[in-house]
Parts: sequence; C-alpha cells; structure tokens
Amino acid sequence: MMPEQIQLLTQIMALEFTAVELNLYLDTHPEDQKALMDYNAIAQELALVKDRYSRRFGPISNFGSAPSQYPWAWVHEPWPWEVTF
Amino acid sequence: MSDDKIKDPQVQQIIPQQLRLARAYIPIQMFTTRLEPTEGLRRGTIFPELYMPYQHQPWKKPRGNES
Amino acid sequence: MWIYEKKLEYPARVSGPNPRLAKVVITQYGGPDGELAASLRYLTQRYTMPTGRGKAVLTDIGTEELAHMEIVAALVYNLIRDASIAEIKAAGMDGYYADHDKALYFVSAAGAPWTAAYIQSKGDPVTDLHENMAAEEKARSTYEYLIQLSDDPLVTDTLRFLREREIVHYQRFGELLQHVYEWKDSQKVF
Repeated sequence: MMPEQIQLLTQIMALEFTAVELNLYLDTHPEDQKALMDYNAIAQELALVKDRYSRRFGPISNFGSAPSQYPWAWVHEPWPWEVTF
Repeated sequence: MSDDKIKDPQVQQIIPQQLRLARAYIPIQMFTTRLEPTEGLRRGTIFPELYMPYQHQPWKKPRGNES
Repeated sequence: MWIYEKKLEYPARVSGPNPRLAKVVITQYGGPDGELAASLRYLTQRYTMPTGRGKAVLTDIGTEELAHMEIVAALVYNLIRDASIAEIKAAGMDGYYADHDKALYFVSAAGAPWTAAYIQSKGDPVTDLHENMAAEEKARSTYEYLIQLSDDPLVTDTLRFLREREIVHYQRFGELLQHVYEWKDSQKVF
C-alpha cells in the first residue's frame, strides 16, 4: 500500500469510528441536538474522504455505493485482513 | 458511591427519582465533549467519561507470568 | 441488507508468527463469549424488540460485532499465516492444523466448535437486554484474560480497543433497558 493510501484509510477509520460512536449514542438519545449536529458534520466529512479514496484507490464499498474505473476495481488486493500497516 | 460523585450534576440528573426494586439501573450518559477522531479511535471510545482502560491487577497475576 | 466496507474498523497488526497466541485469541472468533455469538445474538433478537430505539441499538451493535469478528479473524490469520509446522506443533495447535490447515474456523480456545447454544433470544426485551449486558461483560473479561496471555504488544493494542468497545456497548444496552422499562410501564392498562 502506498503512503497516501494508508494515510487516507487511517483518516477514514478515525472519522467512521467517530460516526459509529455518535450513531450508537443517538440510538439511545434521539433528541440530543448537539450530538446530531456533530454526527451530520462528521458524516459529511467522511463522505468527502471516502470519495477521494475511492477515486484514487478503487471503491471502499460495493453494491452500487460508488462507481468503479475500468477494469472492475473491487477485486484489487489487498483485502482488509491482508493490510498490516 | 462517594459524595463527590453524588454531587456531580451529570449523576444527579440521571438517577431516576423513584427507583424500583428488582430492576437494574444504568445512569444515562449526557453528551458534553468528545475526543478528536484519531484519539477516539486510539482509545476505543470518543467519550472521555466512558474511557476505562484495563488496569491489570498484579495481585491477580497468574503465577509464573513475569511480563 | 448489509453493505461491506473494504477496511477494518481498527488495525489488526501482529509482530510475527505466534500460533500459541492465535490458539487463544481465536476464542473471540468462535468461542462462547466471542464476536460471532455477540453479533448473531443481537441481530436475531431484533424481531421481538418492541421499540424503534431498541431495533436500532440491536442492528447497529450487531453490525459492529461483525466488524469485530473480522478484526479477530485478521489477528488469528496473521498470527498463523507464516508459522512453521514445528512452531504449530510446539504451540499445541497441531490438532487445529489437522482439521483446518491455516484456515479460519469458529472454535473456542479449547477447540470446541461454535454452537447456537451460546446465545439466547427470549422474546422478553428486559430478559434479552440482561442477556446482552452480561454478554458484554463476559467478552470484556475474556479480552482482559487475553491481554494477560498476550506477549505481542501489537496484538495487545487491538485487544485493548476491542475491550473498550464492550464497555461502550454495555452502556448503550443499559440505557436501552431504562427505555424499555419506561415503555413497559406505559403499556400497562389500569
């Protein structure tokens, strides 16, 4: 993996983890406006970084989540369990 | 629970006024601040109040384990 | 439905081949308090959970547990991938090797195959949430024992992350339990 790919992937991991945490919090506090605004802001930032990543290194998600370049890039290795950065 | 804890506004707000017998109660978390994404991921939670790292108790250390 | 993401929730790094450690860490893959059991328990309880909040918590934590199952699998895979036959024999992992080579299979640390008897889905939301809170604590304890057994600081780092997630999940199930009590009280006809 190239340094740029690792850097973007690390950024996605951190942002998405924040989204997971706020998501679980909101599940039991659906009326917390502060947490909801924070979630929406993180979701927007995460979408931007994922888009940058997918354009450069192929889709991070399948089943129509993002378009693919030719040839079909979903099959590119490494798969997550083969990444040891 | 120590007196300090009871005075904590977070705890005061969350302990239900009428506790019933034979029920389990968990205080409801109130979101105030969170850690930055990278630090949150490193710790396993973005909520400082839920960060409770494992403190290995040496008196419970298995015999023969010197590490 | 579910959509896969081609990334781990948290990195799974190992210092080198260590089949002895793999043999115990695998219990969080297919053992009694492991991530497969956690995920399937929560996802299958959803159908009789009465409120929208409850269904959301079970769906989301059940989904996160699948991601944890994948992290544990990555640890085990990388701990045995480059191990020699001599190392596998010395670690007492030859029994596993005889049945599975270096493939991933759902077993406990003692080699018992995964069984649905590890989990419960009782239909009573209060009962199910007690089951889930207990499950989070059992998994937390297991991660602590694994941390004690680990001689690889990189593996310990990932185990530490997974242990902390059990605490956060416990809190969410606890909050949901308060909500379900309120819901039950509101359903009473006087």
